[in-house]
Amino acid sequence: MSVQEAAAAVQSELSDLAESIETRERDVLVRCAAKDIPQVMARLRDGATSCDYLTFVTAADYPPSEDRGRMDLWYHLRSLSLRIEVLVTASIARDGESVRTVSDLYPTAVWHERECYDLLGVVFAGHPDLTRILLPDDWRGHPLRKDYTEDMNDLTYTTEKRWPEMSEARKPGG
Amino acid sequence: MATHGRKAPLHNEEMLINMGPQHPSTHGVLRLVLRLRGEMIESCRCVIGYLHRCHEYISERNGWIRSLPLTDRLDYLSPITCEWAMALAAERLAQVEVPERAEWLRVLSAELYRIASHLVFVGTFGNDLAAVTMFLHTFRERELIMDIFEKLTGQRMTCHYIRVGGVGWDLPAGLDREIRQALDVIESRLREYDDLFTNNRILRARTEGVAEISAERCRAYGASGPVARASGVDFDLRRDAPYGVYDRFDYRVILGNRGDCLDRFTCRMEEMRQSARICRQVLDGLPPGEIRTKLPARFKTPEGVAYGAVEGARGECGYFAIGDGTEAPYRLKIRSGGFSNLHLIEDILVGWKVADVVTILGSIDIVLGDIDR
Repeated sequence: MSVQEAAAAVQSELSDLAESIETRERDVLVRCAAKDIPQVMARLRDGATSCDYLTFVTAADYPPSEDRGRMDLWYHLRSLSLRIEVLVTASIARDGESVRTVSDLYPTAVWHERECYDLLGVVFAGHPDLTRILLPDDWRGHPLRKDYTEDMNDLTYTTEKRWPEMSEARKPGG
Repeated sequence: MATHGRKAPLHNEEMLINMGPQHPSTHGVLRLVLRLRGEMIESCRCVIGYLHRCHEYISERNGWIRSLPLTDRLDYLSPITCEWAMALAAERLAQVEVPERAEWLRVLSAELYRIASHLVFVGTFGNDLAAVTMFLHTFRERELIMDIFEKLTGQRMTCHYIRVGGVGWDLPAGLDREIRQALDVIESRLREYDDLFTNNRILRARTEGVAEISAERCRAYGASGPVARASGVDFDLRRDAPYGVYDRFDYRVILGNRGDCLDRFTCRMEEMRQSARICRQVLDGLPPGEIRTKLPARFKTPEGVAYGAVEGARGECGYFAIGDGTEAPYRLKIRSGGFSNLHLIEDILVGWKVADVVTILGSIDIVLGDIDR
């Protein structure tokens, strides 16, 4: 299926949900509201586009300048049978707003959304296990946010800090 | 204490076992938390991130040109994959044309490294099954390819061969003959491997019918590469989302039918033969010309988004970039095949015995550098 045909198929599936549909060189770029993400993804998966393969989920952080700032979500879908690619994007507020998980539609999203939460702090509502995946559980901050600074975590390593009970025992007379 | 004939109490409660982080068969630093009842696995949770080196974070600060050499450290068993994917994302974003000869050399280097990577898989898979012979055999053949890369790029593994807009070096005189000789040797040894390993009764007994994965499950979990193709998912980025000049070569996309560990093994064996075929076609028809487009002194990418994905030895390796008109991507997301393939493990290990974990994990062929990024 060519990109033009793919765009037409996406248009017919999402005529009421998409804010814009752009035909690009290799893929179709769909913009929609964050609250519609699960519905958009479900229609792309089950409709004529048959996008049965979620390649990745990610986000990009835009810190506040004049406005409140925003977080752009990006979903990349493929149809392995029709050989088309669809990029879905939506914006949410940086803090306090969440987006519904798509892990019930695509099991692979469980890990991709965990990574997105870990590195960017995006909260996916209804996610079965929204924990950190790449960074340690006690890490502070989300490093791929543009306002993250390296001094948010104390990375100097001493036995006293890591195992306070052990250093207590080591003291003379302790 | 001796029980003096009294029956010892039967323990059948659940047991939680940590496999890793340091374990020879996890090929890196990976922890599997296995919940067992007796020998059977009831659930599995992968703990990853031990090798996280903030590649995305570094790239967003260092810029395209200075972070390209770092990509070699992601999938260190097939570094060309990540280099190519990153260069592809930059080229698609900035509309950079790549000279014809460079495209052919990219194909040559990628296919040679695919063979090298699959040879490591065959060897370590044998090692996991306690057939150390395989390891010794395949590493001997891999060394032929490492020598070629040393002559081509000066490095064996972290070669930084692919650049934005082309490749780093042209083929030195006489290397094409050497590559042909190496391919001859490898192809004859592949036949030897079939006798030694593929038709080996012990290997077959431990892999045949073990951890069959359905095509639907592969798609749902985003599995790609030989793992998905062994289950019959007919998708190969080289053919189905063409990049470079792959449309000019004649090769077959190898599919399995059962999706068990043996299929994943034989698929890779066959892919090596197909890669060798492509390499020969490149050497036969390598066009003359430039090997690199001249980039401006400060290479910048315009505003926009681009996704460059290549078919690596471990599936789809893709770089998703958002440009903002500077020398660095505003946001760079690395999609690695191993990440999604490893996720599948949590699902497929359930119901198998502890002794099969090593086989199943080995058959997925993971590289933790690629997964943790």
